[in-house]
Amino acid sequence: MAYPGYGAPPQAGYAMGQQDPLYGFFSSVAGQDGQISAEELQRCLTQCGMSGSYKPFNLETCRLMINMLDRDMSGSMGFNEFKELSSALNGWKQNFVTMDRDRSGTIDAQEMQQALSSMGYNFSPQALGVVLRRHSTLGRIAFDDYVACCVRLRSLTDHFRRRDSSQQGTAAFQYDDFIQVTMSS
Amino acid sequence: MAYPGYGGYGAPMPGMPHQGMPHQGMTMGGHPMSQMGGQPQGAYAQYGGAYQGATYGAPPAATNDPMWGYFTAIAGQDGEIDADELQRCLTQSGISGTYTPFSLETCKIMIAMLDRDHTGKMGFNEFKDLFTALNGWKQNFLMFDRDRSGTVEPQEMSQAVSAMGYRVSPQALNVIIRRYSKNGRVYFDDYVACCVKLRSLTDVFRRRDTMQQGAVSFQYDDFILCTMSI
Repeated sequence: MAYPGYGAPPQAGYAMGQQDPLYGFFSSVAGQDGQISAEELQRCLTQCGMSGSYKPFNLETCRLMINMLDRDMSGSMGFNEFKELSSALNGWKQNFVTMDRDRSGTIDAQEMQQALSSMGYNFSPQALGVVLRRHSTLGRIAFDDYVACCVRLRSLTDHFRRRDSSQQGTAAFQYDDFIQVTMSS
Repeated sequence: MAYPGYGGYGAPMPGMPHQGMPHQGMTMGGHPMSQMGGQPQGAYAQYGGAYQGATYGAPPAATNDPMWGYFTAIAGQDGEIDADELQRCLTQSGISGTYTPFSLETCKIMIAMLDRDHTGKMGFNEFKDLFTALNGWKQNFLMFDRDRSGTVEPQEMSQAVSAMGYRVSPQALNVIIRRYSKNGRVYFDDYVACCVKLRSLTDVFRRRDTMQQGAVSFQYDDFILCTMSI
């Protein structure tokens, strides 16, 4: 994707006339079809240096992000979905960078636990252990693992909450519904 | 992997025993997946019969097992296989039928599926179980990948999922296809990821559905524990 040579998405102060400043960036990533696919998102985030390391941003995480926001079930992202994602990503990036003091591009399990806690999640030690193990590599969590974890937690919690009609922390799932929710998260 | 019946679908892996040696439990004896397992119970399906844990009687002593040498070559010093080692092994085997590396993410979830002792790595028995499952899934996939492209079309993916015995709505199938397609096709390693997840999630659900009603009431923490582990 040959997009304009800025390293990072334009900030709010970027002058683009009356258009939303993010729109120019969005359309250069999205290309002809005006929608962002997982591969385009991956290229974009890698080139922006979002992952904070030399590896490409994880494609699987990109697919998860698109799925999370894919309200029209198109399998790709339109502009409004993209804006929402950028905003979420920037928030997560800021949190992550605050914790990654040695700029290694990774955080440890304890820092991850603190991050989850500060986002309002309150898991049992067992659930926390499972979450950490699944999203870490050799005990460290890279930014794209961290994003994958945040995205999945948000999506699953959302689905759960919508089925918890009495707000008691319990939700009933039929098998088919359970499969739909979990296979898309 | 140079299993009998694969023909030219990928080069033999280094250190693999020759085809002449009997492989305990390695192949499914050629019976099609849809005949395995009998009737689905209520809302559930039987798993593709490839995955039933160890299927041999008394397991042979590890060092006499033809897979052992192969396992130790991959596992290296620590005697266990992690996601990266598994990825290298499966890429070299050519099992995916394409030139791209096998998905690391799929390797991670395969290990998660079998990781009973929660080490994040696979020991020998877990490794053997994985190969049995992979073999079964591969055979199922091949029924639909007639042009041997290493990919199937979306509706073939639906058929493959049904062939494994899962009874889910067309809506659920659409969700699955959308999640696992790349450029409108489903690649073998994504198909494997899908099989692993379906199997694990169905297992989790079934164990909590004590009344066999096809419905489970989850506590939030347990829900997260089950769904985030895969």
